[in-house]
Amino acid sequence: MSMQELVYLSLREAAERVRARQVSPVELLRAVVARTEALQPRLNAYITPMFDEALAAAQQAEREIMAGQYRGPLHGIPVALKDNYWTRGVRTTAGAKHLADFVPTEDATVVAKLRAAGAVITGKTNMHEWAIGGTTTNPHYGATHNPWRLGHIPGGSSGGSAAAVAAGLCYAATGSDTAGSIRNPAAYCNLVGLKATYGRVSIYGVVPLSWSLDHAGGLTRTVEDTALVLNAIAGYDPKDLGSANVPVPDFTASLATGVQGVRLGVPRPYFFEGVAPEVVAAVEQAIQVLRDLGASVEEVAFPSAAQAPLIYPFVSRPEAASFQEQFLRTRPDDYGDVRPNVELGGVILATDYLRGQRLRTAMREELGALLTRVDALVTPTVRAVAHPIGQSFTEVAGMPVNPFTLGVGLTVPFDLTGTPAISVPCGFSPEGLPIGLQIATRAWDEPLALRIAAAYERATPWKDRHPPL
Amino acid sequence: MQGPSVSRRQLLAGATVSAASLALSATGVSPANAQQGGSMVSPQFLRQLADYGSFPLPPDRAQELAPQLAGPLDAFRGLRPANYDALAPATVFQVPAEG
Repeated sequence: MSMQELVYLSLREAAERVRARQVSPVELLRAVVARTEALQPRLNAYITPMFDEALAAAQQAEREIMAGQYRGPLHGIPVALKDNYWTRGVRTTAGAKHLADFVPTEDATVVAKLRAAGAVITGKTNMHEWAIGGTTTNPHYGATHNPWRLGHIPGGSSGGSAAAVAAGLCYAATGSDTAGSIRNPAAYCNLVGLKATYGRVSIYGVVPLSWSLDHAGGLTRTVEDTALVLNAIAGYDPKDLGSANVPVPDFTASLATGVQGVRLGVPRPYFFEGVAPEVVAAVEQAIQVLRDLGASVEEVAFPSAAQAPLIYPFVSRPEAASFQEQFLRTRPDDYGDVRPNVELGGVILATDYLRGQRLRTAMREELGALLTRVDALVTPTVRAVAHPIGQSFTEVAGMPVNPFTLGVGLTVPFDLTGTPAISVPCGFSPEGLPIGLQIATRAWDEPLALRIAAAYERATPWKDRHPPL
Repeated sequence: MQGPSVSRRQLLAGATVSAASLALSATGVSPANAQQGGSMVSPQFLRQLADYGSFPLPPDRAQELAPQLAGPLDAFRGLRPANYDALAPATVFQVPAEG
């Protein structure tokens, strides 16, 4: 097997080979480290590689597996962490200058769970400063490049994680999603990214952007891999006040079930407006594929979704300002261009913040009613494909867009509702840049989102394409 | 519940209102529903508000932020579903099972 084939095994395929002792964790790690050393200067996917620690972890995994102590599908698998996940003894910057020397004394819950599952942590990936933005053009740690087209953004804020997975520098990576920061880079980099239900995955030890909106999750190259990662990281955590004590299913269990009889809703108002023609075309084809697979499709409306970009800042900014008040007071000049976003939260009235939180309830009720008529919504994930670094689109399909409505306008409604949404690759633009399909389901019904995504993935060739690096 | 009234003409004439109008058209909120507030958001007002809250906001920053807040504020306050008075905020206090 060539190096290229080895690094582009799916997590499941790599795990099967590790379990069967056909490939060792150290071999997997050496392959991705060699590739990282070759590509990091061009991609800037990592802020802090952890290769020495990773080698020790891979060697330990190898010993355990040889001794018959196989822990499961993540055992010995190289996994990267977005740099807002606390890592014991390893600096965690959140992409901010303020935290350049912050070394946590404990792991985030997700990190602890990944280590317990035997994952080999390869390092901390680049991200948008404080996770407030969707380009991963970081003023302190440099811009991350999209592996599909150097010089273009990988999306964000989990852009380093997306670039690392897409480029074969690891088999999975963590991300965080407050307005769309898992699904947006997944779409831009031909990956699968799932934002599970709020409370499904602990956010303890993930540097906060906005407590009531932050979601932790993973990015992978296949739907099954996303399910495997979710199996490892989901679950109640008393350290996280938003964590939900609900049963955790096996998220791989229904992946092969198919979509016969599944009722899909297509909310064309808002979700298909101001969307680039090549994105609309790819998503329409994807909907036809799902119809051909046996799903029924009907037109629906989710009117309050159009209000999401207006509601979001009145909720997220005060929470960000509350968390960062001391940094604003003592080190205001250490911010890059996200400073106004944080400062804005300091002058929003409490009554407006609570109006936003009450409007979230209205959105959730509206979506809940809609999802009694249909089982899932299907939409584009992002309005357009990745743009050149430093040159954001200002108009898409004849409609003006700003960086927020361009990057996360279609994903943020489901952060506000706290309900699951997944992005799965659904094609490429004429210039070869990836496009994502978003599937949103009822609260706690990640299995259905994964099932629909898996059925679509099986019927299409997108996951087998890799960037021309 | 309504703030001081503002005419549509005033709404359309103000410099900050062009941004508000964009937000309105983007969100489906009619200007008739919008509540006033944005037109009061001046840099000086933000400075006073920040002082009141002991929030660090230098004058030059208030100058930059004022239009960013003023633009969407009226439209945001105009979002009022029929059942608004019955809505609880999405964030409520929880006591963990562990106590």
